Amino acid sequence: MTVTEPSRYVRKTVVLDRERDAALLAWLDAQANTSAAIRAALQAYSTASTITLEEVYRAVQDLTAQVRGGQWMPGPSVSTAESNEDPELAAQLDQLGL
Amino acid sequence: MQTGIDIGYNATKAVAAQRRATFPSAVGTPDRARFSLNGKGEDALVLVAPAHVLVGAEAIHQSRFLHRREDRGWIQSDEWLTLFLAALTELTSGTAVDVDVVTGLPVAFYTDKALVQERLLGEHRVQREGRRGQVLRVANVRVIPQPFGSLLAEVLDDRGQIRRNDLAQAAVGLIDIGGKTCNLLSVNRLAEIGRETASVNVGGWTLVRAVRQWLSQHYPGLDDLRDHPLAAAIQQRNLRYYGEPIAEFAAVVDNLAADLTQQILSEASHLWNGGATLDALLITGGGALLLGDHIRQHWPHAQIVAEPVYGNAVGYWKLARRLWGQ
Repeated sequence: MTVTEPSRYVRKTVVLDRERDAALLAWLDAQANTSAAIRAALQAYSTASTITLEEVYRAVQDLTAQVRGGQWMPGPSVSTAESNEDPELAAQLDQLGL
Repeated sequence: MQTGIDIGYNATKAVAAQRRATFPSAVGTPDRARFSLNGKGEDALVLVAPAHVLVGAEAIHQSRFLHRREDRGWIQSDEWLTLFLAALTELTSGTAVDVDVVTGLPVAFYTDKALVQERLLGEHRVQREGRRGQVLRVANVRVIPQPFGSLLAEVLDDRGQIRRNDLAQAAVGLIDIGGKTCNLLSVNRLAEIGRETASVNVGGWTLVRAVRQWLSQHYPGLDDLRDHPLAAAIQQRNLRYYGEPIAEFAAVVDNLAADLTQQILSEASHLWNGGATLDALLITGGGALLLGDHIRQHWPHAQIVAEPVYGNAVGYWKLARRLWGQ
């Protein structure tokens, strides 16, 4: 009895639309090694950092704790900060390019 | 995100709060070296959407077909918009970003500002090679006379507030030496004086062309050098021919630069009545590095701004911070 080991490689077929995916097709055509380029693209996409809702919630909680604890206070906004600008010059700047 | 974008014939400059970028204003076909010993080209600026193109230095070195224009209609071309989008992708990799833009136009073409606003405003979809697609929504655009940017870079702080009241109050002459043109702008108390504003058809590329012509007569073969590498050689006053430095190259460049500077000085002197009434004279633009010293020999009170290449873009960004950053 002969036992055939499964191939190391797997072949997948991807369908692209000539019109809608023209940019992708052009990119693929420009690659020296299409398979390697697709592998790299998939790898980059699948390992790109994704932020979960839980992480956002934890970050907001941390920030709230810092503000309550007085570790962080917002700086004065420009509108409330004392401005020594000449009103005529300030108006000139605000109108620039209009 | 507030941005200052300066798209010049020579280079595109982009500034935002934490980032700045510059690359040659060149867009080409996406031809790439398949092998590189030093890894050069790995960080090439490649867009796959809205069109598949190579942008910047890699385009100059690798593209079989390179698009570089020097005419007024350039702002209506696909290449110009590509440079704008590529600049934004240098500033952010966010997938959905609201963008405010201040940019500039040459003094002579300033009447085209509505056209620029129209092209930039709205939603742009762009994708860099190796990145996810980005949706960049440009909500606000202001277009100001190009050299104003360098004055604003000196006058405003990073929040767009006036930090140099002396300069804001002053009569200032601005000499902005770009790739193709030199813009002369006179400003008093931050207001442009229209009758003292002009454009001279001399720029960094004029010097590059003059040097190329000299090379074609004396060093056949070197006149085939592409624009940007030749510009770099001119700036360094150093060029090799069959491996040997050209001994007279620096002197020839200086003589040609002096002749071109004379055209700028002549127009500026006429426009500004000799320059005696100006409190300050600022020289900016990429060409300032090539021609600025020759101007200072004529007007000792003239100064080359701290960052002539980025000067306008930094000023645009500071104005953007003032207008929309609060």
